[in-house]
Amino acid sequence: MTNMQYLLLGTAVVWIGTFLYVVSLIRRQNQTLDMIKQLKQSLEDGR
Amino acid sequence: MRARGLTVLGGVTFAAVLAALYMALIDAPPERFMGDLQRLMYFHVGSAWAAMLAFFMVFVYGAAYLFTRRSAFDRAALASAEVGVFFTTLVLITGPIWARPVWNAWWTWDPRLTTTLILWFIYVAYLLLRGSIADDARRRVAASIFGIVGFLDVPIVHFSVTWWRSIHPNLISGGTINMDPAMTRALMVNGVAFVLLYALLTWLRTRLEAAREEAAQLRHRVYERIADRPDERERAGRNSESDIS
Amino acid sequence: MWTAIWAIVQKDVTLEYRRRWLLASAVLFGFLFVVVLGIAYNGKPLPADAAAGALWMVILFSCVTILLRTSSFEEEQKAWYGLLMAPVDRSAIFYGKLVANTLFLFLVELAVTPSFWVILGVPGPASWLPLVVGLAAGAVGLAAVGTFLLFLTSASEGREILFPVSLIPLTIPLLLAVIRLTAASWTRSDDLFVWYAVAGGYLVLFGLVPWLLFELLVEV
Repeated sequence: MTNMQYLLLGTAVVWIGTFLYVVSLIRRQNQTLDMIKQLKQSLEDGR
Repeated sequence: MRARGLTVLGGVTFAAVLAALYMALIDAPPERFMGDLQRLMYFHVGSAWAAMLAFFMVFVYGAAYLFTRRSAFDRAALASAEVGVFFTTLVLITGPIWARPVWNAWWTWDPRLTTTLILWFIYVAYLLLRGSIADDARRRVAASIFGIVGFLDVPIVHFSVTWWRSIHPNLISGGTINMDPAMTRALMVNGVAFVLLYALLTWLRTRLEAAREEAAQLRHRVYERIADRPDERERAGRNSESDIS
Repeated sequence: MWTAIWAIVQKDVTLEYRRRWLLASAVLFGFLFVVVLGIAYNGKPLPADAAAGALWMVILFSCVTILLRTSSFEEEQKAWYGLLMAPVDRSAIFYGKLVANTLFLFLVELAVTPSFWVILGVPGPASWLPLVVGLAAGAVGLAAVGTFLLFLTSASEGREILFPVSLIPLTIPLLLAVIRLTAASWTRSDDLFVWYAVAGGYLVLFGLVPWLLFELLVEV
């Protein structure tokens, strides 16, 4: 591999990794918020 | 209010990251011996700084939790630790990618490399320990203590590893990089960008943890209700089924 | 304070003496490790560095096994609540456990170490001081951090694996120092002051930190 390829590999790992981490955090946040909504709903229904 | 703060922070971080990429990949001159490969150093050092900050904050939040017993500090400590482990992982991946062409070895027992690896182990253990304690109060106290002790251990690890390697003949001397002012500037911009990134990621992770704790409490209340009224078990059971995922 | 520590040490030693199989198994485990190592090296004598590393692997394994066993025994019998209820300074409980665990570890070390030069062909120690100091510092340090982490992980579901996983990274400086001391005792090397200093500093820190944090620790 040339130096340029190593540079590209490293840069890609850093920024794609960061991007995926942010996306997964937001996705999990939305899932949890959905879950909270459902749970609140089921508590309302049971009343 | 909070949502707006997060949007602002997200925007600023995004701009800083773009600036950091520009400075590192285009603006800074190539290094004399390593050429373009040296540009990787900006991200490598940037994430190393952010990781150090993150682990220091685990220590601070842990102590703050033990003094005040406010669960918000504990959530922040967890978020900091996870983000710190993430940045350390980046450091440990970019390091060998840089070292392979330059030093002709993926790994050497350089003091800083070794310290970083051990830090990674300590904080992965922190996260695993947190994950394995079910009781909220006990988990928080145990994690705070572990965060404090782990951070106190860092300087000893660093000094002992440095002495270890300086006693042995130094197989590979890194050599001092002749820093052009443009390089220093690029490094500073990257440092700022990674610290902002740390703040953003920690914020997102803390928010997620708060939501999860709320969900756990609600789920607990739903289960309690099911236990109280057996005739409703059927209906509530159907609702809570979708929660398991 | 001293009487409380002494009482706990006595209690633990008596218990261990009554179920001798635990320490005996730990020692046997060490011997078995040495035999497998000898087979792997095809009967050739082991280099000093590798021997020092292997010796501390054995000690580390025995340490984890013994400490986990002694504390889970205490929990099974619910003796723990009795200890906490005792009207003594709580850090006395920590130091009592620490002294008892140090004793057990040191016994295992004394039993296993000679097998390295008997079976594995490592030359007898050229200088005794680094060897003895290394073994002693290792026993005290591993027992100190180990006892501390036993309290810390007591609420954890995966304690058997999380205890070693958190013990080893936290004790890296100590392990580094005592392994270098052990290797140096076999090859006679000079300039060991740094490793005495690292081991000493580590012991001071991890001897005192639990005392500061112990009131919090028993909450866990």
